[in-house]
Amino acid sequence: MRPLRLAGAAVIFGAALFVGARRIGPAPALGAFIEPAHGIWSLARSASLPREATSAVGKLGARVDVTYDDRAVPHIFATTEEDAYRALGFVVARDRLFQLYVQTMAATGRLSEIAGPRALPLDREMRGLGLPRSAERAFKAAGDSAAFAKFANAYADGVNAYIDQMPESELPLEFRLIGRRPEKWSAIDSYHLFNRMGYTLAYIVTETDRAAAATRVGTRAADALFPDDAPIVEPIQPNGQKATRFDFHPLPAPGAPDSSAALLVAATDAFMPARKLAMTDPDDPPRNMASNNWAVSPSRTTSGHALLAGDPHLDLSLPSIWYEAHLVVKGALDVYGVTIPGAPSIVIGFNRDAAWTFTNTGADVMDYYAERVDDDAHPTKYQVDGAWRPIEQRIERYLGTRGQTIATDTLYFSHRGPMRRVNGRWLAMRWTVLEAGRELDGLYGASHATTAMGVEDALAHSYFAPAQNMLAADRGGHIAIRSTGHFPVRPGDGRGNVVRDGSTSASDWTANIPVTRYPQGFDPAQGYLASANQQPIDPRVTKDWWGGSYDPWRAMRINALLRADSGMTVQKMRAFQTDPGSARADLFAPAFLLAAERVLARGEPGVNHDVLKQARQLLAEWDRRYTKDNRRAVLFEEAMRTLVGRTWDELATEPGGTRRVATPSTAVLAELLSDSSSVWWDDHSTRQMETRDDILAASLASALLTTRGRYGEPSSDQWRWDRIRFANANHLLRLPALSATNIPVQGGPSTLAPSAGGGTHGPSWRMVVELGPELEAWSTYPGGQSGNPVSPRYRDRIPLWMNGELEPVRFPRTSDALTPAQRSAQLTLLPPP
Amino acid sequence: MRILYHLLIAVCMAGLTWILGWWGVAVGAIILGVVFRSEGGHAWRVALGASEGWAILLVADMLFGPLAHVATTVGGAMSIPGPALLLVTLLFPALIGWSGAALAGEVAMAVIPHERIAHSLL
Repeated sequence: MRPLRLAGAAVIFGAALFVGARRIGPAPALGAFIEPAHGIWSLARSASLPREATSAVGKLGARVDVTYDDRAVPHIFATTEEDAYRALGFVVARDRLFQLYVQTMAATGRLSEIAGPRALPLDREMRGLGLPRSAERAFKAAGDSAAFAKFANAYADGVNAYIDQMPESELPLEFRLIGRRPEKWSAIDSYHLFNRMGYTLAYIVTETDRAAAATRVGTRAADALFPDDAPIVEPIQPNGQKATRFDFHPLPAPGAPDSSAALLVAATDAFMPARKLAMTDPDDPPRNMASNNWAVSPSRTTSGHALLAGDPHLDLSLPSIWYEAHLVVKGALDVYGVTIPGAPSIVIGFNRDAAWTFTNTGADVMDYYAERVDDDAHPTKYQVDGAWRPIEQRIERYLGTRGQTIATDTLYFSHRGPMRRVNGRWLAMRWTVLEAGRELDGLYGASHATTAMGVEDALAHSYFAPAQNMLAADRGGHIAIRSTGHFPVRPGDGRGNVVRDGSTSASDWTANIPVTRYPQGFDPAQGYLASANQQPIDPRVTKDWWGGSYDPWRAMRINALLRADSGMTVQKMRAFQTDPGSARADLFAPAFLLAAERVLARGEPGVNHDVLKQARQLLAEWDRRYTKDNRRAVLFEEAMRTLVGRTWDELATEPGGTRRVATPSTAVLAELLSDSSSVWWDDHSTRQMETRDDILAASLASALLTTRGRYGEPSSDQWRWDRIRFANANHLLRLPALSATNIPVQGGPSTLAPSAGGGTHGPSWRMVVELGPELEAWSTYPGGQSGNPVSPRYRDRIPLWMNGELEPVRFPRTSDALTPAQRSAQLTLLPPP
Repeated sequence: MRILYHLLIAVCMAGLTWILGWWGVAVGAIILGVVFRSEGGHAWRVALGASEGWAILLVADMLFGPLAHVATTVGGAMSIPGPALLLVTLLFPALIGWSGAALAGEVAMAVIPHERIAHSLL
């Protein structure tokens, strides 16, 4: 025996076993990770779906054939709808298992179990808002008999069948990296998913921004800076106008700060601290969850058929939020489109007769109430109309990566919703998102509708939040749009941007606005319908309070394009989706030029005439288009950024600072352009009183200096738009190697394919549908069908998306209708023997 | 004969890995270390065989999919070059193979006569 050799071997063997079996820091346990039979290398074997595969799925009533086409889209042919949704669950899990997992962890406030304490603020926000609680209540209320509950259960069967029989070689890379296993899917997870969508889409910053501004410049000025009604009117519900209407008024001068508005600001800080933190970057403007859709009547198309286009803009991610699928049940269902992994439904798409797509409505559907409680430190009761009501308490325990408890919260709920102690008072929040829960019933109805109005009515019946501008068209040539969702009716003046007295039930919502008063249009005389997150209804024709956050520029552009062309085609619709024109640039660029001209003409000292002259010349060369090779858009955008900073210096968090408590929209800035001597133009850092032209000219000159300093001379390729603006689709774990970043795109802020901020937001799905005798469609999205980063289908659609191109969709009626060349894989699902 | 011997160890390691996962290498190393404890350099042979066994499995993976793409992607996700990941994959079983065989051989030499083990196995 050789003691040294023995000791050495023992140490090395022990160390190797330790490294092989245990995670060290963020590194996975090495043994199982690199082992080639079942570890990461085996992912090579599952990179592409097998040409033929058969699986047994428990509870399946009969055989289901799934044919994957050459775009990797599964066409599911089942004999019952329940089986179709079981199969959908199976194929979604097969392609997007980690996405299902991480979405649920995010929606249920459990991200800290993956990422540790740094995810705790997000988890606390999710649970603190009562989103998981709300999903639990909706799930319980639905029972097992509701259509959605039935299909959610079937979907869960499918997901779990895949998890149960998943070969180790198919365990997604991400699970291996984080050292976790997939959890069983439950029908309630589908409810969690929709609540999470509500969290993303149904939160409106306007009231908080207005309140924050009021703390600086008073309520009257703040109301004008963050108006209930957009100053540029191009509504979704047609109002008969043949051009955009500008309801511009002089803005009142800044007044005395209103300290009472601080409570509303503090409420947002208290209820949504993580979200607030994410939105305070001055160079990353608040992201309106922008989207476009439009439909054209047969009278204005060359084919004589209705056309529909839609491109919802969401966070870009890999894998994409969308998954394309086709479900067929002979005689009962034939629906194609995109589903969100976890949703037992096609969310946006079409059937043989009708097509539909959404944009976000953006109405204010969240209110705060000051509650009177029995014990300020540990409340157990709150008072309404003189009577004490019990406060519901809920203990939330947060786990870390090793399953240990890292935090515990006691949450309080009144009948209105979650409660928080804010500035020494207890506030409750009421939010339609927390009271929803039947949205997928609406989508189920839409998938069976045969007319555009049928789609609208099915959705209006049970779709409550987040409110969407739902556009539909049918083969009969009809087009329709309706802003659908629950919009609360408040007592008194009806406004939802104040903290109401919770001690009286008279403060509570009295009803929801009836469907007949929703903004809507059906076969309008103008021959088209369009929505792009603008104010849905002309304030002159409604008395209801919507209180949203609206951006008119894309609506102006799409309406201008549609008005100008009565011979619409599929190709034009597709091209519009990446149209490089900008109504915002069309309005502001001439204003800069004119102001520069006037200032130069005045010949005043103190102005760098050479710089201004050159800046004016360069901007005049711009065609106001954000094409990839454009070399002038960068100057304009820098001028706009500077203009915003100089104009709204009254709202800076500190004198001379770049951060502001809130920033009015560019539509309000446009409104201000009409008042050349408004006090808002004055730059407080100088002694003299500036006018509009002074600020515009100074911003333009300053922009040239900044742009030149950053990118060199104007003739340089560094000024090209595709060297400056990019789209970035980050992986769900934010791993750069698994992300698609620096994707050059056509479009800028406020173009139809908007590109702003960090570029992480944009058109997440594009679709054009022609509703002829045989419906035809074209589509794409930034990503690919597979969630497996080593799959050729992981990001194969990005080049297409980047160039604004679409692919024809295959829409077979039967499983054998696709030619062998059009098939990429076949999956047969069988009932258990 | 030596090549056959190597091949046998490699196939044995590949098979054990297929059945037991990476623990198969440790198990194989111990067994082979005990069986061949009296042969000079047996631990190195087991190390090489373990590495070769995993190489066989990697070749099998390569036949069915884009192994180089996996190396690049996974390496990228872990901020290491793909070839380094491949190298670690070949060195790790060698390390377990050598240390496991050496350890088992030394212990066996100390407690069990070689002939008894050979008889019991054969």
